[in-house]
Amino acid sequence: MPSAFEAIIAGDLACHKIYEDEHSLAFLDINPLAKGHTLVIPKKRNYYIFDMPEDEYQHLWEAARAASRKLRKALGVQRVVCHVEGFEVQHVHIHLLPANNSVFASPPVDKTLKKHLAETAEQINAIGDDF
Amino acid sequence: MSTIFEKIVAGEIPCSKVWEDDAHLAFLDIRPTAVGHTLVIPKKATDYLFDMPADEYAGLMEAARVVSVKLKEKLGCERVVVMVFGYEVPHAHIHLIPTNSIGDLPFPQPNPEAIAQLESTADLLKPID
Repeated sequence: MPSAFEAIIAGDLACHKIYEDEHSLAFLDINPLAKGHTLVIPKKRNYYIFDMPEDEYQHLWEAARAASRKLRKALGVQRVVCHVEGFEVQHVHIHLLPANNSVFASPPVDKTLKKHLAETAEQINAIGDDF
Repeated sequence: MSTIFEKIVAGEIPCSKVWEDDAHLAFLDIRPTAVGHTLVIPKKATDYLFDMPADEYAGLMEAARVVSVKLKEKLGCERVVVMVFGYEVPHAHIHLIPTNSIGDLPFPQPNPEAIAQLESTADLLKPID
Protein backbone atom coordinates (compact mmCIF):
# COMPACT_ATOMS: atom_id res chain seq x y z
CA MET A 1 0.00 0.00 0.00
CA PRO A 2 1.46 3.37 -0.92
CA SER A 3 2.36 5.65 1.99
CA ALA A 4 1.56 9.35 2.23
CA PHE A 5 5.13 9.95 1.11
CA GLU A 6 4.57 8.16 -2.21
CA ALA A 7 1.61 10.43 -2.82
CA ILE A 8 3.78 13.47 -2.02
CA ILE A 9 6.53 12.30 -4.39
CA ALA A 10 3.96 11.66 -7.13
CA GLY A 11 2.56 15.15 -6.60
CA ASP A 12 -0.85 13.78 -5.59
CA LEU A 13 -0.50 15.23 -2.11
CA ALA A 14 0.77 18.75 -1.51
CA CYS A 15 3.81 19.48 0.65
CA HIS A 16 5.87 22.48 1.69
CA LYS A 17 8.99 21.61 -0.25
CA ILE A 18 12.28 23.07 0.92
CA TYR A 19 14.81 20.99 -1.02
CA GLU A 20 14.84 18.49 -3.87
CA ASP A 21 17.42 16.72 -5.95
CA GLU A 22 17.43 13.72 -8.28
CA HIS A 23 17.16 11.16 -5.47
CA SER A 24 15.63 12.95 -2.51
CA LEU A 25 12.94 15.34 -1.37
CA ALA A 26 12.78 17.51 1.76
CA PHE A 27 9.59 19.13 3.03
CA LEU A 28 8.17 20.53 6.25
CA ASP A 29 6.70 18.03 8.71
CA ILE A 30 3.00 18.78 9.08
CA ASN A 31 3.33 18.11 12.83
CA PRO A 32 6.28 20.36 13.59
CA LEU A 33 8.16 20.02 16.86
CA ALA A 34 10.14 23.16 15.98
CA LYS A 35 10.02 25.87 13.35
CA GLY A 36 11.42 24.44 10.12
CA HIS A 37 11.02 20.80 11.25
CA THR A 38 11.76 19.00 8.01
CA LEU A 39 11.56 15.46 6.67
CA VAL A 40 14.12 14.26 4.14
CA ILE A 41 13.03 11.21 2.16
CA PRO A 42 14.41 9.11 -0.69
CA LYS A 43 12.22 9.16 -3.79
CA LYS A 44 12.62 5.41 -4.03
CA ARG A 45 10.85 3.67 -1.19
CA ASN A 46 12.63 1.73 1.49
CA TYR A 47 11.31 0.68 4.88
CA TYR A 48 14.45 0.86 6.96
CA ILE A 49 17.31 3.29 6.49
CA PHE A 50 20.03 0.72 7.13
CA ASP A 51 18.55 -1.64 4.54
CA MET A 52 19.01 0.91 1.76
CA PRO A 53 21.60 0.14 -0.94
CA GLU A 54 24.83 1.97 -0.17
CA ASP A 55 24.54 4.59 -2.91
CA GLU A 56 20.92 5.40 -2.05
CA TYR A 57 21.83 5.60 1.64
CA GLN A 58 24.63 8.06 0.89
CA HIS A 59 22.47 10.14 -1.46
CA LEU A 60 19.91 10.48 1.31
CA TRP A 61 22.44 11.64 3.91
CA GLU A 62 23.93 14.06 1.41
CA ALA A 63 20.45 15.53 0.88
CA ALA A 64 20.02 15.77 4.66
CA ARG A 65 23.25 17.70 4.85
CA ALA A 66 22.19 20.08 2.06
CA ALA A 67 18.77 20.63 3.63
CA SER A 68 20.33 21.19 7.06
CA ARG A 69 22.61 23.87 5.64
CA LYS A 70 19.66 25.60 4.05
CA LEU A 71 17.63 25.46 7.27
CA ARG A 72 20.48 26.74 9.39
CA LYS A 73 21.16 29.63 7.08
CA ALA A 74 17.56 30.57 6.35
CA LEU A 75 16.36 30.35 9.94
CA GLY A 76 19.55 31.58 11.61
CA VAL A 77 19.64 28.72 14.10
CA GLN A 78 22.67 27.48 15.96
CA ARG A 79 22.47 23.98 14.51
CA VAL A 80 20.17 21.38 13.05
CA VAL A 81 19.69 18.18 15.00
CA CYS A 82 18.44 15.02 13.40
CA HIS A 83 16.83 11.73 14.20
CA VAL A 84 15.58 8.72 12.30
CA GLU A 85 12.98 6.56 14.00
CA GLY A 86 10.93 5.11 11.21
CA PHE A 87 7.94 3.92 13.17
CA GLU A 88 5.38 6.38 11.84
CA VAL A 89 5.44 5.98 8.05
CA GLN A 90 6.73 2.92 6.22
CA HIS A 91 9.09 4.93 4.05
CA VAL A 92 12.53 6.01 5.26
CA HIS A 93 12.64 9.60 6.51
CA ILE A 94 15.18 11.71 8.34
CA HIS A 95 13.82 14.34 10.74
CA LEU A 96 15.77 17.60 10.77
CA LEU A 97 15.06 19.97 13.65
CA PRO A 98 16.49 23.49 13.70
CA ALA A 99 17.59 24.17 17.29
CA ASN A 100 19.14 26.86 19.42
CA ASN A 101 19.58 25.13 22.72
CA SER A 102 20.14 21.79 24.28
CA VAL A 103 16.55 21.34 25.41
CA PHE A 104 15.30 18.56 23.23
CA ALA A 105 13.23 16.34 25.44
CA SER A 106 10.36 15.23 23.27
CA PRO A 107 8.59 18.54 22.67
CA PRO A 108 4.91 18.35 21.73
CA VAL A 109 3.65 19.34 18.30
CA ASP A 110 3.57 23.13 18.09
CA LYS A 111 0.05 23.96 16.96
CA THR A 112 0.87 27.58 16.13
CA LEU A 113 3.71 26.53 13.86
CA LYS A 114 1.41 23.98 12.25
CA LYS A 115 -0.85 26.82 11.14
CA HIS A 116 2.02 28.75 9.57
CA LEU A 117 3.76 26.08 7.53
CA ALA A 118 3.39 27.97 4.25
CA GLU A 119 5.07 31.09 5.67
CA THR A 120 7.88 29.02 7.11
CA ALA A 121 8.48 27.31 3.76
CA GLU A 122 8.45 30.70 2.06
CA GLN A 123 11.03 32.04 4.52
CA ILE A 124 13.31 29.04 4.01
CA ASN A 125 13.02 29.09 0.22
CA ALA A 126 13.67 32.83 0.08
CA ILE A 127 17.40 32.19 0.26
CA GLY A 128 17.29 30.41 -3.10
CA ASP A 129 20.23 28.15 -3.96
CA ASP A 130 22.81 29.95 -1.83
CA PHE A 131 23.35 27.56 1.07
CA MET B 1 41.47 21.30 25.15
CA SER B 2 40.62 17.76 24.25
CA THR B 3 37.14 16.42 24.83
CA ILE B 4 36.28 13.16 26.50
CA PHE B 5 35.92 11.60 23.05
CA GLU B 6 39.44 12.52 22.03
CA LYS B 7 40.68 10.96 25.26
CA ILE B 8 38.72 7.81 24.42
CA VAL B 9 40.19 7.77 20.90
CA ALA B 10 43.68 8.26 22.39
CA GLY B 11 43.09 5.39 24.82
CA GLU B 12 43.42 7.64 27.86
CA ILE B 13 39.89 6.87 28.97
CA PRO B 14 38.52 3.34 28.59
CA CYS B 15 35.36 2.58 26.65
CA SER B 16 33.25 -0.45 25.83
CA LYS B 17 34.25 -0.70 22.20
CA VAL B 18 31.75 -2.15 19.76
CA TRP B 19 33.49 -1.50 16.44
CA GLU B 20 36.44 0.38 15.02
CA ASP B 21 38.17 1.18 11.76
CA ASP B 22 40.98 3.57 10.82
CA ALA B 23 38.86 6.70 11.01
CA HIS B 24 35.95 5.78 13.32
CA LEU B 25 35.17 4.32 16.70
CA ALA B 26 31.90 2.95 18.10
CA PHE B 27 31.40 2.33 21.82
CA LEU B 28 28.57 1.95 24.32
CA ASP B 29 27.10 5.17 25.69
CA ILE B 30 27.69 5.24 29.45
CA ARG B 31 24.22 6.79 29.88
CA PRO B 32 22.28 4.25 27.82
CA THR B 33 18.60 4.78 27.09
CA ALA B 34 18.38 1.18 25.87
CA VAL B 35 20.51 -1.95 25.89
CA GLY B 36 23.18 -1.52 23.21
CA HIS B 37 22.89 2.29 22.99
CA THR B 38 26.04 3.09 21.03
CA LEU B 39 27.92 6.22 19.97
CA VAL B 40 29.71 6.32 16.62
CA ILE B 41 32.37 9.01 16.30
CA PRO B 42 34.98 10.08 13.77
CA LYS B 43 38.46 9.86 15.29
CA LYS B 44 39.17 13.32 13.94
CA ALA B 45 37.20 15.92 15.91
CA THR B 46 34.61 18.14 14.21
CA ASP B 47 32.07 19.87 16.43
CA TYR B 48 29.06 19.89 14.13
CA LEU B 49 28.08 16.89 12.01
CA PHE B 50 26.95 18.89 9.00
CA ASP B 51 30.22 20.88 8.95
CA MET B 52 32.24 17.77 8.24
CA PRO B 53 33.92 17.57 4.81
CA ALA B 54 31.76 15.54 2.42
CA ASP B 55 34.06 12.51 2.34
CA GLU B 56 34.43 12.37 6.14
CA TYR B 57 30.68 12.80 6.57
CA ALA B 58 29.99 9.95 4.13
CA GLY B 59 32.57 7.81 5.92
CA LEU B 60 30.91 8.41 9.28
CA MET B 61 27.49 7.53 7.87
CA GLU B 62 28.89 4.31 6.44
CA ALA B 63 30.39 3.50 9.85
CA ALA B 64 26.98 4.11 11.46
CA ARG B 65 25.44 1.68 9.02
CA VAL B 66 28.00 -1.06 9.71
CA VAL B 67 27.51 -0.67 13.47
CA SER B 68 23.72 -0.62 13.18
CA VAL B 69 23.80 -3.93 11.29
CA LYS B 70 25.90 -5.44 14.06
CA LEU B 71 23.60 -4.13 16.80
CA LYS B 72 20.48 -5.41 15.07
CA GLU B 73 21.98 -8.85 14.45
CA LYS B 74 23.51 -9.34 17.89
CA LEU B 75 20.73 -7.83 19.97
CA GLY B 76 17.80 -9.02 17.86
CA CYS B 77 16.03 -5.67 17.94
CA GLU B 78 13.50 -4.60 15.34
CA ARG B 79 15.43 -1.55 14.21
CA VAL B 80 18.16 0.84 15.22
CA VAL B 81 17.16 4.45 15.69
CA VAL B 82 19.54 7.28 14.81
CA MET B 83 19.86 10.53 16.74
CA VAL B 84 22.31 13.38 16.40
CA PHE B 85 22.00 16.26 18.87
CA GLY B 86 25.54 17.41 19.39
CA TYR B 87 25.14 19.49 22.50
CA GLU B 88 26.74 17.18 25.02
CA VAL B 89 30.28 16.94 23.62
CA PRO B 90 31.65 19.21 20.85
CA HIS B 91 32.79 16.26 18.77
CA ALA B 92 30.29 14.94 16.23
CA HIS B 93 28.68 11.70 17.40
CA ILE B 94 25.81 9.59 16.19
CA HIS B 95 23.58 7.88 18.75
CA LEU B 96 22.44 4.44 17.63
CA ILE B 97 19.64 3.13 19.82
CA PRO B 98 18.31 -0.41 19.37
CA THR B 99 14.51 -0.37 19.63
CA ASN B 100 11.55 -2.66 19.25
CA SER B 101 8.63 -0.26 19.18
CA ILE B 102 7.76 3.38 19.09
CA GLY B 103 6.94 2.96 22.78
CA ASP B 104 10.69 2.85 23.38
CA LEU B 105 10.82 6.42 22.14
CA PRO B 106 11.28 9.28 22.29
CA PHE B 107 14.20 10.32 24.36
CA PRO B 108 13.80 8.29 27.55
CA GLN B 109 16.02 8.77 30.55
CA PRO B 110 19.04 6.53 31.07
CA ASN B 111 17.78 3.03 31.70
CA PRO B 112 19.08 1.48 34.99
CA GLU B 113 18.75 -2.03 33.58
CA ALA B 114 20.82 -1.11 30.54
CA ILE B 115 23.42 0.54 32.78
CA ALA B 116 23.61 -2.64 34.88
CA GLN B 117 24.12 -4.65 31.69
CA LEU B 118 26.80 -2.41 30.16
CA GLU B 119 29.59 -4.91 30.68
CA SER B 120 27.72 -7.96 29.46
CA THR B 121 26.42 -5.97 26.48
CA ALA B 122 29.97 -4.82 25.72
CA ASP B 123 31.14 -8.43 25.84
CA LEU B 124 28.40 -9.46 23.47
CA LEU B 125 29.32 -6.71 21.03
CA LYS B 126 33.09 -6.92 21.39
CA PRO B 127 35.00 -6.88 18.07
CA ILE B 128 35.94 -10.44 17.16
CA ASP B 129 39.44 -9.85 15.76
